[in-house]
Amino acid sequence: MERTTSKINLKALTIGFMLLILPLIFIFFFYFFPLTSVLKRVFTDFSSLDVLAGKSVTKVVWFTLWQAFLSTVITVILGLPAAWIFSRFTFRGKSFFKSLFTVPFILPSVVTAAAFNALIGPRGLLNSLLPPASSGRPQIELMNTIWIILIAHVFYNISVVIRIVGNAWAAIDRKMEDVAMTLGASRFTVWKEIVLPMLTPSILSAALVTFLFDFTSYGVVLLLGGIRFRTIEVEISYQALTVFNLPLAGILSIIQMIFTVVITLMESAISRKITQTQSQKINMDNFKAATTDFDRWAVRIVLIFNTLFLTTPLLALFLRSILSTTPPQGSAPAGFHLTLEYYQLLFVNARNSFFYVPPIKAIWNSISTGIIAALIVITLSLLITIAENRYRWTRTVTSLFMFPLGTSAVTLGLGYLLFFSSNIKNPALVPIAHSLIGLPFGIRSIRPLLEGIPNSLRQAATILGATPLTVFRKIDIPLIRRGILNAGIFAFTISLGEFGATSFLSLPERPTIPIAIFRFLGQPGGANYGQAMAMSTILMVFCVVGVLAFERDPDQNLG
Amino acid sequence: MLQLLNIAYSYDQKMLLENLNFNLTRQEVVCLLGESGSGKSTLLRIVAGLEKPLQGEVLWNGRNLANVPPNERNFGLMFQDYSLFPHLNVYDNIAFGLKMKKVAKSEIDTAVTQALEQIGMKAFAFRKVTELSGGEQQRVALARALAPKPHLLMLDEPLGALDHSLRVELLQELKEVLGKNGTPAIYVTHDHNEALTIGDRIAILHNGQILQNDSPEKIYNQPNSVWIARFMGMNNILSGKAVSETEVKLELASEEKTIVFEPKYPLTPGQTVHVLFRNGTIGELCEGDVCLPARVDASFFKGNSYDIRLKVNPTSMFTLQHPNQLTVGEIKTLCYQKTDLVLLFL
Repeated sequence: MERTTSKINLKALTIGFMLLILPLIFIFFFYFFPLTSVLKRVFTDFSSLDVLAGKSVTKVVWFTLWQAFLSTVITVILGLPAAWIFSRFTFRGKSFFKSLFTVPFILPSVVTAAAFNALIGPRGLLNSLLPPASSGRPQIELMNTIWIILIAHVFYNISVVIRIVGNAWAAIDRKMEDVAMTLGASRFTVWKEIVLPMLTPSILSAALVTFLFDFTSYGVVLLLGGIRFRTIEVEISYQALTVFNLPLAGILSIIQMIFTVVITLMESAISRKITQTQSQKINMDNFKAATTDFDRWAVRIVLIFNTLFLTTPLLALFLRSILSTTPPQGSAPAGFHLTLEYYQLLFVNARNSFFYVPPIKAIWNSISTGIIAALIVITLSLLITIAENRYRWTRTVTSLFMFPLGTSAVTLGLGYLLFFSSNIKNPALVPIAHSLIGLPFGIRSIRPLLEGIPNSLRQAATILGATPLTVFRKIDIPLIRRGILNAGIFAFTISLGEFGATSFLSLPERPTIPIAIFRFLGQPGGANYGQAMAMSTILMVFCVVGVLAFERDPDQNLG
Repeated sequence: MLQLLNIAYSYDQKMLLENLNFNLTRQEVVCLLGESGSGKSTLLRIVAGLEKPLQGEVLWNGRNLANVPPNERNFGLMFQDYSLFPHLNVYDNIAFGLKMKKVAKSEIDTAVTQALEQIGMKAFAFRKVTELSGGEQQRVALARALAPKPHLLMLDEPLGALDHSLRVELLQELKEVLGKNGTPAIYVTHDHNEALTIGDRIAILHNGQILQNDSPEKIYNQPNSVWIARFMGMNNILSGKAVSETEVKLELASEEKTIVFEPKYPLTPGQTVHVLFRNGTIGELCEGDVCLPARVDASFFKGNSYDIRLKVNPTSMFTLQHPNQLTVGEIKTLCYQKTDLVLLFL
C-alpha cells in the first residue's frame, strides 16, 4: 500500500514539476533576478547616498501617502451611493451603466491623463470655450495642482468601490433588512446596525485596493502633476532615467515594495474573510424597482452624477482629437473647427520629429507587443493552473507567480535596467515585462473555471474510456475556454496601456502607444497636442472594445 | 384585528393580487396556502408594510396602516432562510427588536434569557449564528421574532428548508406558541399537510385571489373547486353531466352511471359537474352506495400499504390504498358511500 502511495507521489512530483519548469524559469529570470539586482545595487552603493537623499525620500513618501489616503477617502465616499443603487435596484440600462462606469478603470493612466488634459487642461475643451481670465491666463487652472491628481484618481478608482462594495452589498439578503425593519429599526438604523457592519470588510477591501492604485500612481501624476508633485513611482523613474541616481531609485523601489506587500497582504486577508462569509448565491429578489420618491430620485441623481463625471473627460478627449483651434488657411480665426488632421498626421514621418518613424507605427508596435504578451500569459497561466488543479503540492510554489501583483511596473523597469544592462535594448523585453504584469490576472481568469469543474465529470469521461489527455481536451478545455479568452484579453489590454515599465524599456524607434502619447504631450504646439488626443482616443477605443469582449461573460457580471 | 380590503398588487405589469379580502379576527393561526408564485409572500410583505399595494387598505383594529412604516407596525416576520444577522451572535439577534424598542438593558437581558430557555438554547447565547444547524437557526429566528411581543407574527414558509423529521418536530413547537396559545399568526406555506396541521383556518390563494377560506376540516371535506381538491392531494375526480336537478351521469369504461345527489341548489340539466371520490375501498363485489368498475394499472409499494392506480375510464385514473399488491389488468370494484362523494362545480 505504502509503495503505491509513494509511486503516485513521485509521479505527481515529476509531472507537476515538468508543468511548472517553464513558468518557473520565466519568473525567476525575468522577475526575481531583476528585482534582486535592485536590492544588490542598493546594498553595494548605500554608502554613496547623502543626507539630502534621505530628506527627499521622506518628502516623496509623505506626499505619496497623503495623496493616496485623500484620494481613497473621496473615492469611497463617492463610490458608495453607486454601489448602493447597483446592489438594490433595477432600472433601465442598468448593465449598460455598470459597464460604462467601469470604463475609466480599464483605461491606461496615460489616457486618463490625456482625457483630463483635454477637458480642463490649458488647451482643453473648457478653457478653449471660456474666455481667458483678465490676466490672459486660462479660466480653469487645475493642471499641475493636487486637485487634478485627486480628481483623476477618483475617476479611475470609483469603479473599484462600485464593484467590490456593490457585489458584497448585492449578496446581503434584502430580507435581512426587512426583518430588521419589522423588528422596529428605522431605515437609517437598518443601514447603521445591519448593512454597514456587514459591508465593512468589503469597504475596507475596496479602500485598500484603491489606496494601492493611488499609492503606486505613475502616469497620472507624471502627466498631470508637473514637476511639483512626485509620487514614489514618479521619483524612481526620475532618479533612474533623468539624473541616473540608481541607488536612490533602488531605495525608493524597496520602500515602494514594502508598502505594496503590506497593503496587498492586508487586502488578501480581508478578501479571504469576505469569500468565507459572503453568500455566493445572489438572491434576485434583492433587486427591485425604486418605489418611493426618495429612492427614485436617489437613483437618478447617482446615475447622472457618475455619468457626467466619468464620461465628460472621455468625450472631451474624443472631441479634442477632432477639433482644431488653428484655423484652416483663409478662414476666420475663431473657435473650433472639425478636422481629421491629427489622425492624418499620425501617418506622417515628419522631419525634425522626435520620432524616427511615423507615429502610427506605435499602434502596430503596441498591437504586436500585446499579442505576444497575451500568448505568453495564456501559455504560462494554463501550465500553472493545470499543475495546481491536478497536483495539489504545486500550490506551495504557484503563489510565486502572484508576486508581480505586488510590484510596481516602474520597479520592474528599474530591475530590467540593472539586470539586463547592455541587453536592455532587446525589443523582446517589452512584451515579456508586460506578460509578467498580466500573469496574475491570467491565472485568476482561468483558475476559478478550472477549479469549478467537478471531478465527477472527469471521472465520468474516464469511465467512458477517455485517456487523461482526452479528458483534458474534451472536458477541461471547452469548459475553461472563456477563462483562456479572458486571460488573453486581460493581458492584451494591460499590455496596450502599460506605461511604467515600458518607459524604461522602449526604444526611441519602437514606441508603444502610451509612450507616443507621453512624448506628444511633452512637446509644445497644437499639432502635438492634437496627435496626443488622437492617439489616446485610439487607445481608449481599443481598451473599451477589449473590455466589452470580456464583460460579455455572464459569470463575470454578478447582479 | 387585521383586515385586508380589496388589495391589488402588480409586478412587472402583471397582476399578482386582485381585489383580495382577508380577515384575521381572533387569536388564531391562518394559513395562506398556495403554489409558489401565487402571491402569498407578497401579501405578507404588504401586511408588514414592506410593499405598498396598488390599491386597497390594510387595517389593524380599524386603523388604516397605509402611512405606518414597517418599523412602527409591531408585526413580526420570519423567513424560510431565517435571515439571522450574521454579524450578531444568538443573544444579540434575539435582543435586536427589544433594543429597537429602547427597552432597558436589564429587561432585555431577562427577556432574552427567558426566550433562550424556552427554545432550549441557553448554552448557545454567545454562539455565532452561522455555526448553528438549520433547526437551531429556526428556533433563534422564532425567538427573535417573538421577543418584542408582536401584535401579529407572519411566517413565510418557515420550515421549508428543513428535513422531514425536523419539520414535524418544529411544527409542534410552533403550534404551542402561536394562535390561541399566544401570538396570532399568518403562516404561509405551499405544503397542504403543514397547513392542515398548523392552521386554525386555511385561505387558499390562487391566481391572486382567495379561492376558499375555511377550517382545515372543511377545506379537506368540502373543497369548493376541482383545483383545490387536486391541490390538497385529492385526485380521484370524474367529470359528468347533470341530467336532472339531482342526477349526474358519469361516463365509465364500459358503461354510463347515473348518481343521485342532494345538491344545495338544483342542477341545470346539461351542465358540466365534477365528482370528487374521497376514501373508498377496492373490492370484488359492490359493497357501498356507489360502485365503479376499474382496471388495475399499477401498484406502488408504500410501506404499510400499496398505492393502487386504476383506470376508471379512458381518460381518468384513480389512486386508492390497498393492503396487498394487485395484478395489473385485473378488474376490481371501487366502493363508495354517498357521503364520500363531493359535487364540484368549478
